[in-house]
Amino acid sequence: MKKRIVSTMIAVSMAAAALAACAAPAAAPAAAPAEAAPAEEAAPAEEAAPAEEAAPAEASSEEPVTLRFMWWGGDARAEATIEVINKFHELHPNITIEPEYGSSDGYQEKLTAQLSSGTAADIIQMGVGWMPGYVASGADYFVDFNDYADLIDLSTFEKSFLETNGNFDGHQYGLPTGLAGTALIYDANITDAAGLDLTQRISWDDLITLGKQLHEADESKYLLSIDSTMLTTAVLRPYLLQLTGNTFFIDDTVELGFTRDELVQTLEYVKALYDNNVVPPAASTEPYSENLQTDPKWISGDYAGMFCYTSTAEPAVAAVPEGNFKAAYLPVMEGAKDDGFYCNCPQYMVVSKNSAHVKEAIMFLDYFYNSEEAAAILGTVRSVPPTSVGQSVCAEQGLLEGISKETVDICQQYGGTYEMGLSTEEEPMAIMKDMLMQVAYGQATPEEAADDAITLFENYLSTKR
Amino acid sequence: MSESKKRRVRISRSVINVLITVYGLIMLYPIVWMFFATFKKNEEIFGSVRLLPQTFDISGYISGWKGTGGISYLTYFLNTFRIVVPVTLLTVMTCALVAYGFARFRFPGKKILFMILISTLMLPNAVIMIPRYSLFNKFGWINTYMPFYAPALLATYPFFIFMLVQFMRGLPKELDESAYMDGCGTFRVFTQILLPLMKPALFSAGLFQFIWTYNDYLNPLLYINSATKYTISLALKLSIDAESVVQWNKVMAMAFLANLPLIILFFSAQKYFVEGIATSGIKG
Amino acid sequence: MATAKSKSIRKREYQGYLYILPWLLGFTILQLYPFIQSFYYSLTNYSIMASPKWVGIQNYVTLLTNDREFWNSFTVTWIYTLYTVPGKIIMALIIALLMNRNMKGINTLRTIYYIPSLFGGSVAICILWRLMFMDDGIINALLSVFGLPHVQWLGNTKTALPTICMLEIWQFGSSMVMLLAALKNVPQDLYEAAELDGAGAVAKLVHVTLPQISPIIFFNVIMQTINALQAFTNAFVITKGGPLKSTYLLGMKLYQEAFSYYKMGYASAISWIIFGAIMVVTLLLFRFSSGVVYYSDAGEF
Repeated sequence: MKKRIVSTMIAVSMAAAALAACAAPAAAPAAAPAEAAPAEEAAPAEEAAPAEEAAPAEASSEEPVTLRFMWWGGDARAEATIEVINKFHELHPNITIEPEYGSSDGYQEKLTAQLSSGTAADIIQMGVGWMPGYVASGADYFVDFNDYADLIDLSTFEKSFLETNGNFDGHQYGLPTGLAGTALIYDANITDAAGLDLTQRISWDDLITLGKQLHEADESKYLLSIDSTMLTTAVLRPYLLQLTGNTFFIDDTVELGFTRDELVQTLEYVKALYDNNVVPPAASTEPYSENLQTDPKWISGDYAGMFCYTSTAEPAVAAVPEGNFKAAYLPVMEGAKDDGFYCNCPQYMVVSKNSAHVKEAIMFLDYFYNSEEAAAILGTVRSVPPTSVGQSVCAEQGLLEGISKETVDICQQYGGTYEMGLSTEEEPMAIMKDMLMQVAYGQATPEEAADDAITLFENYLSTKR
Repeated sequence: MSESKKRRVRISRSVINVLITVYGLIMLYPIVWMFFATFKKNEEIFGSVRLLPQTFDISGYISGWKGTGGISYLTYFLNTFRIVVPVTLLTVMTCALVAYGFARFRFPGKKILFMILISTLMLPNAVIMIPRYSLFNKFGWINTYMPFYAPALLATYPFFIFMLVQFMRGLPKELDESAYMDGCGTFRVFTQILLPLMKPALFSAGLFQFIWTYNDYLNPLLYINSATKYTISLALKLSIDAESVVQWNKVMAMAFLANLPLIILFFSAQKYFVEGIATSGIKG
Repeated sequence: MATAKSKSIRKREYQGYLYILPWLLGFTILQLYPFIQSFYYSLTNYSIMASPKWVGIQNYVTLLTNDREFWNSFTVTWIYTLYTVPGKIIMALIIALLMNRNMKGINTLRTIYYIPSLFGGSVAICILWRLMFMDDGIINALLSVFGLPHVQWLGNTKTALPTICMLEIWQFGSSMVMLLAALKNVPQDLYEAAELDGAGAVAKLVHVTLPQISPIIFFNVIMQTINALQAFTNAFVITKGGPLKSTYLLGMKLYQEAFSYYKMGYASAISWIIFGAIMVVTLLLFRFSSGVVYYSDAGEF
């Protein structure tokens, strides 16, 4: 049995390799070399045909099917997901799902290698930031869920949420796994002691006032811990979005969404954050970049709060057991042209077009998203669920409380322009971070850093036109 | 030697002994720190420089050993040995053969081939990764251990070949010559004369290959899909995720256990590579 | 020499092909294709996912003329190499010489010295290294004992790279093991002969030990240089290339371009430049070595 599965998988991957090798997506999968596997075993590979054919009205046949499901995440997520897989197997004994879970470390590299060789799992948990790159490659890796509306109920998702999450030019290639966004958390014990009020809506300037007040009262304390990544996603881009009403890059025209002066103004704000000791010196936080919750000064309560994601708020809070953490409103400037912040999702679920059993994979995802049983098991292991089913089950079970829920609630109140695309790709992100760090380390004035970066942004954009 | 000189030597020897012991203790720090970290709570691990834990809580070992998704560390250990042991043995055997070929024979094209051999070490792995993956995929080796066995069987570890060549070149050629005089064939010269003298080098090559394969993360990550086939290095990272609260004592406990076999191996294997040749006078 | 005899010797020399056959096969089957493929990619705009388009030497031109990051990484990588290669080998040599003796507990000591190398770029080391070098860490505490000011080791652009180098040097274990093995191969009678000539400890070291183990020292210099020019693991897990790209090694840029930006063609071009750099250095080292490295086979290679 196991051999059969392996050879079937090989057959499928051979077919895909043939595709990748000659780089002609139109080639028929049947072009797989015959000697790779016995003819009958190669058959499933041929089922990986265009969507319309592969979506017959009736549910799955009873012949045994094996699917592979790949995701990353910690122990709780793994345990819950495996339990859901087992429950699904009880309902559909002919469908076996092999879990392939791992660390986020190297996940993207592995996925890239797999996609390009056609060996990817049937069901894949996908990073939001990677997806535009994969889709833009034109390689047609993923199944459009709209083509399978009879197998999966998408009405449990909010329609507008689906349209901005996982939808690429009308194709629903990804299904969001939850609600997520930027968060601002703070330890009320510290702010109360210093007489700071963070329960109200705040502006960017308020942040500076509050930060100054805290640091002046106690030299060792800072209002916000921040690293180059959060400085980019929680300050630079929202600030510019509010200032200009444009996303950082305008995807339609492939142009900068701001003028030099606007960028300089934003960088001056960043400089003010450091100059006024609202945030600690970059030299003491950058070593903990992307792991701010492991900073000893965060653990010891030297920093009152932190910009993070709704999905990382929980670990950040857990690192300081005696803290009393709350979610603050996200800063908005006076006369903002846009909210600047918005709610999106932490990951997508996608189904590989190479899959020999697209139908069964989608049936599983329907169970995964829309069954109360699955929702009860999964809880919030992938953030607050995006479906009405998931949300009501979690609410009933009292799972929707604590910092994750608080931050998501606040995030949902902002309707900023969704900027996934050029502005969030890794390459320009690296330029943004570098520009911000130039300012933070005092190695360049806001003007110098802006001029320098604009050249690099233009270079980048010219490769995208 | 005069009495005072002897004493001076003795004193300087004991000073050196004390120095290397103290320095050794500094080197030992990480493993000691890791050991104590297995008992600590997260905020203790990250927040303080104190070495000793507040309480000795062994729950990290118990919950860590159970692993994730019903697969315990026993499986991970067995899987790892299933890869590492054959790979190590094959590597040492084939690389020694190839090294012998390069070190002791003068055939046309040897220098060029040797340069090619070394140059295969010079291209960074990251760009070869994808072509190699698609190649192994064409052989149908994904999700099997063949991507580990095959390179070892075919001696594609230039590092070890080069290393063994260097050691072999340190052995005088007169040894071979006299064996040829006695009517030995090349293979017998290799097995009867050179291999025994190469013991320290062979053991250190084997030790390195063992440890490096054992610790390798990227290759198992790429080539192995099924959780039931995971190795220790993959398992160690399973719990680590920026988006969930990681119990670091568990991670540390398993990392500590994972290192133990290597430490024991090193301790017991060292007599072969440092005390390999007690005989003298084999060299010119 | 009689022709019959030299003929049989030549016949014997051809048996060398037989011994290197495993590698010849391995190279052609497993390594040649990825090699050629990556060179081809370096001349295209290959992005892993989309089919490669031929762009000629444009990647190389962009790299050398229009990518400031490349030159920064290039410099960082050389500094890294110049610190770590001599650092590691000198450290390994000193310790190996000290460990090459009979003393109570020497086996344990050797093991202890090897332990840091077991850890590699693991998470545990990453956490520990940050703790040791943080503001109130052990290293700064030691500095204040000597009345020196605190340094923000990993947060400062000037000290981050040396801190990463220290971690690399600290993992000198494998070089030490090889040198120990080599030291054991030095014949005792050479020392005895030197002692008869009245040589002291230093003279014995310079005239007997070092020449005898020079092939292995040379091997370590070559391998460490190759490794250092490609290195990125330690910098990747501890500083992620920062602050301000001060630890952004070429190996890391290459990795980033390939897997974060999906610019496989460009990354391949970087790796062929690294390849070229290593090749040049290696050839220079080989050339230089011929006068310094002593082989028992009298250079008959």
